Amino acid sequence: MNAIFDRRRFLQFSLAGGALLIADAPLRYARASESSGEFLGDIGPYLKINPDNTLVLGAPSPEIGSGMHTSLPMLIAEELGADFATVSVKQMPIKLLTRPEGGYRWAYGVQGGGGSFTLRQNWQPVRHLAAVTRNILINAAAEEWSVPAGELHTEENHVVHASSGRRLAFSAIASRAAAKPFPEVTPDQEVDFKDPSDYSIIGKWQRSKGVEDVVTGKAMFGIDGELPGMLHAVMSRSPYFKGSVASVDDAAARAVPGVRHIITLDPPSAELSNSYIAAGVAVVADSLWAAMKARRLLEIEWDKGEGAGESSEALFEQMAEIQKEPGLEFAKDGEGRAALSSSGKVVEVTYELPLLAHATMEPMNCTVHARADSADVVAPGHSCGGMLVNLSRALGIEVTSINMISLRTGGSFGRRLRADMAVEAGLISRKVGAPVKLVWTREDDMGADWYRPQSRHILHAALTDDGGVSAWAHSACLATSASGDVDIPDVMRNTVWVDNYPRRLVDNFEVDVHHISWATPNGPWRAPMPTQHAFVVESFINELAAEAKADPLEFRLRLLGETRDMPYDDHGGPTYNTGRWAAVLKKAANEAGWGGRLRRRQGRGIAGYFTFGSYCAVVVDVEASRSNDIRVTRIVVAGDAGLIVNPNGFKAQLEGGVLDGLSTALRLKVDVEDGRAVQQNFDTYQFMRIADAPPVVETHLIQGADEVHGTGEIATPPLAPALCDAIYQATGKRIRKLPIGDQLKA
Amino acid sequence: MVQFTVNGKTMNYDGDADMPLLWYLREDAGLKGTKFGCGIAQCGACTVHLNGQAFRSCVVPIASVAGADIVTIEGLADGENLHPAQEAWIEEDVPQCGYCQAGQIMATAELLSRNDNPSDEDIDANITNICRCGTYYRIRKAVHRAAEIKRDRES
Ligand code: FES
Ligand code: FES
Repeated sequence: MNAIFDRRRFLQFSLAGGALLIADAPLRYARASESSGEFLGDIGPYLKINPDNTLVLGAPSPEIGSGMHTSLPMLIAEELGADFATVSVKQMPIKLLTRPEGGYRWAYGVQGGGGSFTLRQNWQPVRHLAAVTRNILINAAAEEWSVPAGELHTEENHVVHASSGRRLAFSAIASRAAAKPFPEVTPDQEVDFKDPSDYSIIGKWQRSKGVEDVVTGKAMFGIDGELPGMLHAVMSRSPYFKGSVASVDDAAARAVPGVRHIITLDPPSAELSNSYIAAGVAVVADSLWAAMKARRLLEIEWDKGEGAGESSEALFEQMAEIQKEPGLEFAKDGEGRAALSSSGKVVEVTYELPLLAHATMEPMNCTVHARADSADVVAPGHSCGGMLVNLSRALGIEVTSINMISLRTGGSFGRRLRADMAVEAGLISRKVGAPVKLVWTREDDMGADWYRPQSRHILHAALTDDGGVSAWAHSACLATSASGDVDIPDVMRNTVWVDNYPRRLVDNFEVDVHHISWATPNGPWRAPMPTQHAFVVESFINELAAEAKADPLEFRLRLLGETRDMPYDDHGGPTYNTGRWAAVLKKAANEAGWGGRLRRRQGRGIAGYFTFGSYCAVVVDVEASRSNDIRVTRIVVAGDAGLIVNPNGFKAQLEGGVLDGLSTALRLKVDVEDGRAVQQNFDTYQFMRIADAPPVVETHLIQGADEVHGTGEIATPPLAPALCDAIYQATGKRIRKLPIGDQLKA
Repeated sequence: MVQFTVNGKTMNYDGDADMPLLWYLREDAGLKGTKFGCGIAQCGACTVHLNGQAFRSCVVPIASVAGADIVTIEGLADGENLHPAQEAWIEEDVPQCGYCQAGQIMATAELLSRNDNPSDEDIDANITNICRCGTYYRIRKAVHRAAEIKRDRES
């Protein structure tokens, strides 16, 4: 979906109930939204100035926990000259519109956000619109006062004439501004942006918008959404990946009071298989409880399908076998692997990474009313474009005739980039001819995920006598559900990329890859490649440093070398900078007292990584009991994501990111046996509780550039390798397979 | 017919006696602040107070609450006055996605009702709710801060 801002658009100013609405949509859409009624919401697309001079800002994409409903409005408020404390934020409807010249565009900003790009994609357009709006307010005030516009500026929801000390509330010039012809906005138009040295909102600690609603239980999440007259559905999906329904006996289930329909959903067609996982039987009832109760009474025989017999344990063995032969050459510099034999000391280590579930705290759910040629959707959104497009395909309706409301989203971590829950709800609603809320239980959620794929890595490196690295060879093996003509670079992006560090930092360098197709579905999991690649590469670097009897920090700084841009042709590229990478390592190390003496059975580990344009390093301190029970006593993090928009939100993402990394490294994995997931709920998929969280998580922010990058994915990748090196120092045991589980007890 | 109170209001229920309290609260009473996370008493997202004690409502059959006083996140504040835990949660800006936080706050409020100065160990032993976003560092600070606010208010 390449819906971007139209090259030309108009700002629409209008008065409604005494409030000034400022819309960033073309006229014809503004008219359309008036006639389409309430479903599109009641405020203009991006700014509303209330009669009491408080502001409502529209957020284009949903709040998934990454602070988007705070950081993006901060950018608007800054440029506009708003008082951020008086700003409230409203999620805009999710809507695609047809462009006159063909293709689609978003109604409100860039609404299809995924990965770490939402803020980045929206920054320039919203800033531009905010600057234009500010100028209109200033011009209106200049007219009112008969002074040159150049003498005026905005601050705290007022236009200010500094020399005379006069102030005019935005709300007081609303009608004058609304009477103006709609100004045209084009991206190449000259606008004066605020000088960063004048920022009073950006870069300052800002409380998250909406926190009061969360702590009082008023916040509405996707699962709390409703459509008038809706029924409730749960679905019994094939527990076997790519399985199907052989037979159903639904007599007992139908007898449950409140049950209205029991429907079999066929396995997804090839066209839909990327948005919909499982065949199954849906129960539709008057209440969620009736549907859940009836589902338990279904007697279904499953046809196991092509995944039958698959197991993650056997897959590791298959990987080991296949990796005895060289894989497809992915990257090669100098003599590559061949240089290993001519070098001094060669180190070889194998790493294994398990399947992971997303297990977002809010289970999958979606509410859809599918009509013959349109649909209404209420969902916890993330990649809303994917939902709209897949629903339009599944229902055979125009993507522009789907009206979607995204409520707050209880986490995504990449899971909600998929649209399966929406497609299922759409198909069920279509079949029963009524709005349907489909809720997945936790077992449904963990049993039919798009898991982070399983991978195995063999690393070789040659150390020179003085402790440098003269050759590096990485053999990566990945299993995904991609089959047929596999686009190798694209699938391998789950675990390794040709430009990955330390390419070009080591003269002789080679990466070869193997891919195995199996039925278990896979998808992005919070920083899909970096969480795997950082563990492998940064763990190996820690092992190399130990072999070279070098300090792991010094070893890394030497490898990174002088400050320069390295080519990086993937997310966050086209380059990364070795100096910014070194800077986060040094910052975390300094703040952690790197090099200080530790007691017996204590360990301190370091690692850093470049994730999608941002840099992050962590230092982890652990203590091991005599029986090798591990306690993490402190984590120090340094992050550089370019422009620091909201230090509070940035810190929160770093804190959450490292704790996710810790939780995952300690105990999390999904085992596949006979083509189905073994772990189905939190009793066996054991997320960390507060008792495992270190009492201190110290975060340090660096602004290494002026552009905005993501903060949500950057702290997870370096945590596990730093943790495992700390554990090694405390216990003498190397962890080369995640999760750590009970390996230290052996 | 089962009778009980929810946030001070008397309620009557005569539907399916097996239904977990969680679904009654969310679907019948329309109190959606109490969340569903696992259904097996593991995550704590559904925590409510039953006669002042924290319970995971996803495993409490509604028939068993006859005569009980139930408080949910919507009824935790005293009118306009937020509970100390809610206030501390805002001060520390704890939530990320926010989905687990009602449960975390309900668990904390109950701990504070028994212990107005919990140690880190008390927190570890008593707050066992899952936060998928990993807000534990701020939760710990907020629990200590809530205890402080509570002591200040009571002194
Ligand atoms: S939903 Fe009740 S404990 Fe998880
Ligand atoms: S804030 Fe997202 S699960 Fe706790």
